[in-house]
Amino acid sequence: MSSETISALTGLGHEYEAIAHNLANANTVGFKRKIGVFTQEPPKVGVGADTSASSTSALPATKATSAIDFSQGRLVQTGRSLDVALSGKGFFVLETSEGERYTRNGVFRVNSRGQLVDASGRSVAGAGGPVVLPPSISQMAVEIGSDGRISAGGTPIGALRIVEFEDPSVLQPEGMGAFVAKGRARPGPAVETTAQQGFQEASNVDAVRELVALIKVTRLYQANVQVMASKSDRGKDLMRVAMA
Amino acid sequence: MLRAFSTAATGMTAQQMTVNTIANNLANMNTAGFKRTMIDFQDLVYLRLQEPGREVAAGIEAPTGFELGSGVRPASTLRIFTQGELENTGRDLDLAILGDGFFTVLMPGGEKRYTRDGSFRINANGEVVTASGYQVEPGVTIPSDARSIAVGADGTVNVFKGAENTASQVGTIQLVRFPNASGLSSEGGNLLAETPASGTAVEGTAGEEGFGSIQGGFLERSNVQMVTELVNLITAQRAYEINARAIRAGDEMLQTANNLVR
Repeated sequence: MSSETISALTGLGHEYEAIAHNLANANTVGFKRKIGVFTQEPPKVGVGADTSASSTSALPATKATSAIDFSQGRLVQTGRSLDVALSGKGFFVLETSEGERYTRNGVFRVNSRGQLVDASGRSVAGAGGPVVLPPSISQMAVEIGSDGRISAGGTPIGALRIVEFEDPSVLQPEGMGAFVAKGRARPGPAVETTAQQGFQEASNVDAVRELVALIKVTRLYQANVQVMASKSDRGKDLMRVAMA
Repeated sequence: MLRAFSTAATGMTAQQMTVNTIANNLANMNTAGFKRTMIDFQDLVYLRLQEPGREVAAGIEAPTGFELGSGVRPASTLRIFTQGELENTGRDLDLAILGDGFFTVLMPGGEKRYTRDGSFRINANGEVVTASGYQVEPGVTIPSDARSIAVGADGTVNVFKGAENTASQVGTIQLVRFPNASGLSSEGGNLLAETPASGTAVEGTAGEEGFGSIQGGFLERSNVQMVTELVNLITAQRAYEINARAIRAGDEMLQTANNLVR
């Protein structure tokens, strides 16, 4: 059994797992899809393929990296006063005991102390400390401007802290809708991002694209298994057909 | 790869929960004072196979790592307290709250419950009670010779008795608010209960300090919008199907591999 085929099969298995994860989060607010090899531009077969290994299995799936597609999700109107969607590349900031976390899920609520929190109870950072809604105002009367400024009936309450990363690839998904910035990367204030009250940002998973990738992965997997089974030169031809 | 089966399964479970929630919303489309709920989802933890920034060659760091997600989990249900439409019923004791606030209801055991359903009645003792017969707090008793009842925007209850032409006040219906109304627990029967998350009830007069005003002769309809729910239902159903498709695809892949060993 050739090691390339095995590594291709492992890569395809991982690819399949990434697609399954994207599809599971097709309706998760603020979710950003993982870029799979087959949902990107098709790989250029033959270019730089100077070893027989790369031309045999020619599978970019063996390249074990994964990145996040931070493209904008659709904005869905809900009318809820504490739903805020971002349009642009910015993030909301969550204060946790392990440091700052960044999220695109703006389905906020208040806790028993009137403090603005996310679904997991993590405090939403304001421009100057946590945002606290005074008990004398109605939640329905809360107004959030496109710059994140919060007011109620004309009285300012605070502002949401919205940040942007020059290079969003420093962000790693951590689960629970949050990203953590790796290394010493720190965000700057948002300049190109606007907040929209009463909206939620839908997941940016495109089910059709993921399904097409799923079919490709399935077929390539089957093709690779056949390569393994035949252990002959016919396998090479088979893979060329599969990748064409 | 078997991990991906459970990943896709979390997606199916999540969509199933969405459908359950939508079904409950639709079932309560004509329930007075009902507030729709939605489920908030979050992605599950990631399995890190390779750390980003690891050294791939002397002085060269990999720009991205390799992490695999493990699906989705429901984070919470969220009751959406947007205003429902007010429907004119003409009944004296149908009360709707326009704005923030809840009526307080006293249970037989003495504990308090809160509701937006203001379709009140009078029981045999003349007390104002909910449709289920629970007393409204603070208690208001309507004299037996009352001709008509008028509830003001501030909650004052006035009655015209016998042949009198002037109204006399017999009580006031007060409202309560919570720092976090979404944190109230649903008790069924249109009743909500206080929890540590909701914060303590703040009593007040209707129409003052952020409290909504009371509209007599109106009922607040549920805030469920049929079109929105149906669109969400279709979305959930399709998402369920594609997650099932992901499992089927994985099954095919494993089957192919299994056929190798013969």
